[in-house]
Amino acid sequence: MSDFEETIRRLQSEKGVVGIIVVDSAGRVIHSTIDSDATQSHTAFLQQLCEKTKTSIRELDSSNDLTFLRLRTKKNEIMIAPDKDHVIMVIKDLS
Amino acid sequence: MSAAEQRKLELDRKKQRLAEMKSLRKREDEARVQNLLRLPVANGNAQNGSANRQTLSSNEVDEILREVGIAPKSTTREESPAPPQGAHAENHLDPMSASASHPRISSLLSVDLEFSTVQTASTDNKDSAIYSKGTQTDDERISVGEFSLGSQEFDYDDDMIMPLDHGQFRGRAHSRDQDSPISYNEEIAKILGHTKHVDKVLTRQDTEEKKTQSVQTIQPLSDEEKNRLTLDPEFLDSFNRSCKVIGRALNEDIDIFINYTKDPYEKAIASDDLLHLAQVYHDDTWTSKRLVTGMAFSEHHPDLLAVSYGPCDVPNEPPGVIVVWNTKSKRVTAEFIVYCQSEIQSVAFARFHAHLLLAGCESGQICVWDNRLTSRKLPINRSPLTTQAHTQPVSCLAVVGTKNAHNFVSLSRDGRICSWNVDNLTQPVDGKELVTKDGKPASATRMSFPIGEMQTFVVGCDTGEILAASRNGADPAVIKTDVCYKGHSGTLTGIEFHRASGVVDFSHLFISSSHDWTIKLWSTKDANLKFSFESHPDLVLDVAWSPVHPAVFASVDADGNIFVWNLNEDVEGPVARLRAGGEGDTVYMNKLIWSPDGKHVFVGDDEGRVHMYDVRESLYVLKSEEWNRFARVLSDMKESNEDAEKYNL
Repeated sequence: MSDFEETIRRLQSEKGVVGIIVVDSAGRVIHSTIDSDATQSHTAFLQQLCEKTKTSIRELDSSNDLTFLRLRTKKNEIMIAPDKDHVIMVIKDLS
Repeated sequence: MSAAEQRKLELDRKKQRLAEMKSLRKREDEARVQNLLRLPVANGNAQNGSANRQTLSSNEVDEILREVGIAPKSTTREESPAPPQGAHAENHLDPMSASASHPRISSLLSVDLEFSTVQTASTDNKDSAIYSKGTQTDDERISVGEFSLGSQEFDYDDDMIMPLDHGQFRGRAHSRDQDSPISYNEEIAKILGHTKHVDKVLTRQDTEEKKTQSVQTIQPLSDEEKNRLTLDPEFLDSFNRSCKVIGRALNEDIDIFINYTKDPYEKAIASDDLLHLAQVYHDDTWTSKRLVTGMAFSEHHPDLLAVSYGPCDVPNEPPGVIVVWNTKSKRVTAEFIVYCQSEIQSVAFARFHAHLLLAGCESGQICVWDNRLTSRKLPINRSPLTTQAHTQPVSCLAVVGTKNAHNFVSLSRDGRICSWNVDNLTQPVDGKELVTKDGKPASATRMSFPIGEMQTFVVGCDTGEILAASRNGADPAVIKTDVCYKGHSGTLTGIEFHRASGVVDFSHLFISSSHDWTIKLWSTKDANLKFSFESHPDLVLDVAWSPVHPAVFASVDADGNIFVWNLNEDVEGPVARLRAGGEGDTVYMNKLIWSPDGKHVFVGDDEGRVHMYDVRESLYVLKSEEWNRFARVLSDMKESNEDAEKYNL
């Protein structure tokens, strides 16, 4: 098992984690633990959200940058960690 | 040659020149179009070469395709670009005709209108153009691998030039329409000044659109690429770092939404369907902002609930009001409204006179209304203010006895108990002072008679003591009590004997609520049988037994909590809790009463509202075993009390 898979597996074993999606900076899926339809829709929207947030943050302060995005919803919590060349999205079930 | 002829000649010459110019322009224009269309061919984009298409035979096209590396396909492939090409050409005309028509319409056309037309034309154009070329670009990119937006960009640029470059427009427009080229030019020049800025915005929008489109068309990574990425140490490094952050975020199990001010029981209250708010009885003119001081159900008409209200701040309004509500009606209907010139402390229906309503006043008077006299709002009769009767607020009223031998008994704050004949309020039948064992007058707040009993009763005092007394006594002026139940440390707010009658007699039980935040259960028969319920988070203001279920009672506190207890199920806590009012909004619940059928609980607050709550069926439709179960529960209580006493000794 590669280092990458090992990390994914470890992350997935955390309590409440229902899905992990890793995409590259262009929004192409590198790895996903949920089915492809859900991956597609999540990626499409969350990528946009992330980009929009990033630009907003930079507009507010050009020396600032987005490092982490936590979305609390009624059903779950989505954590988005954007990096230079990839974005990790983790969906955590709250119940 | 006459001047007219000269002019005619000149006109002819001009016409000729005009025609020449026309043809010249036409030619120029055609040449330019040809050039334009040939340009892509020069780039090696056979499919984009639109003008040359007609001249290329299918073989030639195949050849070109082969050069680029695309195997020639069936003829349909050849034909397929044709319709888009046609559409393309048409669309080239579209903006021309559209814009060309403008000078004809009016030179006064508004800038906005002009601009929007151009925009529409360009969008149309883009649509058809993108589809045809986009597909081709995709194919090409797959085969070549590294091809990016080259042809797409050309595509866009080509389209975008049109709205932007009005010079080009003008040229085309000329070739189509020469009626007023100059004015059109001026128009354009004017517009250009205005629209330059707008165009910029437009361009930005377009590029953004282009971006999103390019995002949408991004191809998924191949497995190989994925593998390569996941093995890239640089990628792994940053990936692991992000994962650590996420891991920490995941493990952080602090509930950021926790509300420490919230009652932990609240959820259970809200979800519990044991209590359900069914109706709020309220009248804007008569009851608003008044404290509910007393409630009583009519025995003759179990639908009627008399509610007495305390004073309000509004001047010239009567300080004491009684409203008789019809509780069966779906609508909030007040059957009768009566009032008097003193604050009303307690209310009761005269049990054996269906139409009489009694009230004890702050002044010490007792007022009687007859609801047959609907027009008379003031009492038909009132007791005198003498030392024989009450001189202190009458806090409690009870009608006791049988149809043929009955009295009503009133209790005032100073501990004076008077018995009255309903028909004669001029003076009480008898009036006695209640004194404690050591001879002190008792400041009574509440009293209760057991069901069917008219002599013995219990009285709750300000001190928290409960006195058991009998109206019969040798002394004509004083009732001296021997039995005193001590346990409460605060003023008694409610006291009531057990009401439900069934196979087992529980009429010796009574329950009391107090400002010491507790409810206590007592028995007149057995000193060891007692229990304290300590679940209320505030002053307990009233308590009442269910009239049908032997083990059920309800209580309210100053925090607005309504508790329903079922001792057969739980002696430690209520089976249903409900908090009136929203979060952070406390409704001061002052009085509580059960409907005679035990299906509803009525709670009065300090805003002049009476809330009717439906209780669950299990609390009024009961099995016979409930009685025996309750007897067992009581014997358990007694046993544990005896055990505790034994160990204490």
